[in-house]
Amino acid sequence: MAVKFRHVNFTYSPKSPFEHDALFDINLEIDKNSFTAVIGHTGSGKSTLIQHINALLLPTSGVVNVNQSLITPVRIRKYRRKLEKIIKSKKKTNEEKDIAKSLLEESNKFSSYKKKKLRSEVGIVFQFPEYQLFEETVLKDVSFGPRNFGKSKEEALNLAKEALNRVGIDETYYERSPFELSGGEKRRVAIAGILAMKPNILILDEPTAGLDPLSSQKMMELFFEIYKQGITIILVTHDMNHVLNYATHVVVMKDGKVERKTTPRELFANIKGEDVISLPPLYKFMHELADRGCPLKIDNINNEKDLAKAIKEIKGHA
Amino acid sequence: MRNISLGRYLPNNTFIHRLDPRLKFISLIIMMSMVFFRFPSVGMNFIYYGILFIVLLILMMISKIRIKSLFKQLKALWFMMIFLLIINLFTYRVPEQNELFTIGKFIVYDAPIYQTLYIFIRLLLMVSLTMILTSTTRPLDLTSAIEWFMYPLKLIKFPVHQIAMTLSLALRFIPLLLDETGRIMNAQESRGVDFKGGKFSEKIRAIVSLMVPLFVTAFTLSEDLSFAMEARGYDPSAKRTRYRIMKFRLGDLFSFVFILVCLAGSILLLVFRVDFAPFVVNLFDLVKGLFK
Repeated sequence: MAVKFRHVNFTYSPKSPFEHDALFDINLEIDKNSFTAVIGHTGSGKSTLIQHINALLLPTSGVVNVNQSLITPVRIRKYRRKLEKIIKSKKKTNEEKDIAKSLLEESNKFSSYKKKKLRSEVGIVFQFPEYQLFEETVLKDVSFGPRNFGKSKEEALNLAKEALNRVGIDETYYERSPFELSGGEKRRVAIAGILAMKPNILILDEPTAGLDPLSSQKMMELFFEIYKQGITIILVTHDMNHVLNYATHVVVMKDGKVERKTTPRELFANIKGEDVISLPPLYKFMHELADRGCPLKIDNINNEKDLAKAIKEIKGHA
Repeated sequence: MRNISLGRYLPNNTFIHRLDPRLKFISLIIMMSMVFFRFPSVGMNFIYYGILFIVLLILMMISKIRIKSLFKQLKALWFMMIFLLIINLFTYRVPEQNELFTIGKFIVYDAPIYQTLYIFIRLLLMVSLTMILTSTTRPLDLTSAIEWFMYPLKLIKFPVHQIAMTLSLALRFIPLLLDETGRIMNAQESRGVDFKGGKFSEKIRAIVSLMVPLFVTAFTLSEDLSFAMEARGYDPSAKRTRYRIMKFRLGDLFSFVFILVCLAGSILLLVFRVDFAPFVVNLFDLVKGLFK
């Protein structure tokens, strides 16, 4: 298991005029070496959820286990004491006590996270990552992350070159200012900045937002390539085609809660696209055909070719 | 960054929220000037500031502003106050000052400490006043009020509307830039930047990694905004109508009278050099005596 959320709740700006609850009792496991898509409406808590994985946000209550280290709301010892208090309290309900017991068990099993180590292991590519560029040259900007994590200048430059090569930026760009590049190039440089840190979990928060379809597809292929090299990918997206074509698992979020975790095919085959999910065109078409009486077995169809074959077979029988 | 509430409008429907923005703006100016009144006796100054502070706390309670959030905003002032106290201890001298204690050969007088306290209290009062105004008035209403006050300047061809629009956009950009700062900080933190700790050189580097993208974003946002305004036919010199018409109601009148009474009272206290300090001391002794 790469990431495990246990009874996680999160409130923004607690005890301030801007207080609002964003996550409610999240229990979720994300497998190692999986490609997990997180989907849901704007404001459903997707970005809040992923920011817990590298401790940019700390849970208000509950714990997040990342690579066997624990992210707790406060220092782990203090949190254990707090949980013990809840267990002993007479005012708490049995349900609250049971949750506290299981969290205490979890916190006794694992040690607390080390911020630097965790952030070098979990890379986050935020929406419009090009806005985080600031150095004078592309190479310097990409090597900024590895340098912060204690790599020597030479090592950092090598890692930067390797990452730039991975995203298709050649050496003619190395000494150019990142601000001179086109939008797509800037984004690739920003992503290289994260890849250079060699994370084993890569979180992508709508990485293709604002890109043209071709660049978007190329970008997704790059991430899929990275996933095939053994890195766990967590992708936040609104593009259901990306979910269908690349993800191995999908987490559906609604109003700060995890509504379900399943595989993309199972999700799209059994839902008609109302409410949280807009179906990919292939599934929309298949559901439309099925609604009009076409005897399609949606579960067995994975792509356009399968669909064409199935239609041909049905036509043959008719 | 998300916890900063200074300068942010808090939507609510309190009496203060419903007041005319022009009245709130002029009241802010009147009360700010009242903050600078200084009485001959130290005791009277503290009593006066205490009364002002109580009035402001009541106003904050009516406006449903959490008093805790005010003190959160003051965290940054402590360092400034300590620095100011040190400067005042060495430089501030008045003819009448009492020796408090000595540190080696250095004599510490009371006047610099009082002076620092005055500055701190005035800052506290001004921050509270500004907080009440911005928390209860929509930025657009505030700029409409400013534009209304600057209206006579139109006679001398002063670009009143342009100034008001600039102000309103600047106010509009505050929460946007705060959110953007939070976003960039998150992105840089995930690249290993430590904004809280580290050596001085690392801190400088962390600030650069925040400021450069922030400026780039701010310029991009402002450029996009100007294009969007032009695309929707914005003409700075055109005569404009208003969606929301400001109306001066009975509640506004009563509030204005209250502010004027406060101002008049303060001026009278100042002119007649009234000193409540001995009275308060006597009262305090009397109460103490009752409990013995």
